Amino acid sequence: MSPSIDTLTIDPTAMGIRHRFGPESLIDGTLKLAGGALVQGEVSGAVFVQGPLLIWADATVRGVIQVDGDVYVFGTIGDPGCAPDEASVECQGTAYLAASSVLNGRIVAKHLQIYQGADLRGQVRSLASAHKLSPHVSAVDERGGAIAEATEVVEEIDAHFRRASYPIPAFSR
Amino acid sequence: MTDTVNHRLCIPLGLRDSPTEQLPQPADGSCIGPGVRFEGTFYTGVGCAVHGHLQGAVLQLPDHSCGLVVHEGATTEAFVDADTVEIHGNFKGQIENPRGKVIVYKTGTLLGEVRAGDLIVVSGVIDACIGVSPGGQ
Repeated sequence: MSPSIDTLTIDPTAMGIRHRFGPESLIDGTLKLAGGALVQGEVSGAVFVQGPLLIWADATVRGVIQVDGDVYVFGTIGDPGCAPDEASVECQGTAYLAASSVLNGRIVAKHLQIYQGADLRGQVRSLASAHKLSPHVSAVDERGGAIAEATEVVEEIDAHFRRASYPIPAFSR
Repeated sequence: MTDTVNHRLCIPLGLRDSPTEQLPQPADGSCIGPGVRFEGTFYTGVGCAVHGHLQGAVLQLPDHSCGLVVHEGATTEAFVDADTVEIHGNFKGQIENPRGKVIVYKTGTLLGEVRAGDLIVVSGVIDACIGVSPGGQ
């Protein structure tokens, strides 16, 4: 068999990615995001994403992350040595763990695609049946706080990131 | 690789072994045929292909490199120490080879624990505690 290199084409608009947490950003709390999200910084807490989730290289997610779409992991899930409950990504779609991904916690998905080179030190589980997650209830129960309103990517945020020196995709709506 | 007009970005996900369209060929070495049940410890210096049922352990001989192939429809409940483990069928147990490579194919099921150098999952069913460090650290 001949190995092949898979590539991911990120088209934020087509993929429904409406939220972005840029590099060096730190988000900690209970979030409910209507639409997909791109994480380039650090996100911790109870997060529910109604869409795809991209965890960029050098990005880190912690806590309970529930995703109603696909997950693309290029960065890190959890801190080294953390328990699976401290960093858990639960995905209703397919989870893609790229070669640069690091898993220290747990990932649960309907389907899994793990690429050669992924650094895995936790639990990996695919859902054998159509197991339905209860994101709203579990997110609130886990943290006991109010769920924030969905955020919008606005033109000012796009312009702010375009001024940055690092190469990042710009969103347009 | 950036499409600046439409703001799209192409980034590599990584390498994955693509299974051939033909049925997987038995590894050079031993074969547990369909309908055959093996219980015990299997020491091998080349490899083993499981088409039936294997229960126990598969251990590669010192200074040898071997592969275990669990074919579609086969079941394996074992502790495995092999440089390459290909799972097309059902595997339950423990895979322990810090420099080894484990590949779970579309029809494969992996339950248990894995400590290996590389894990590649091509959309199989998996429920395992994983310790994979590329480079075998």
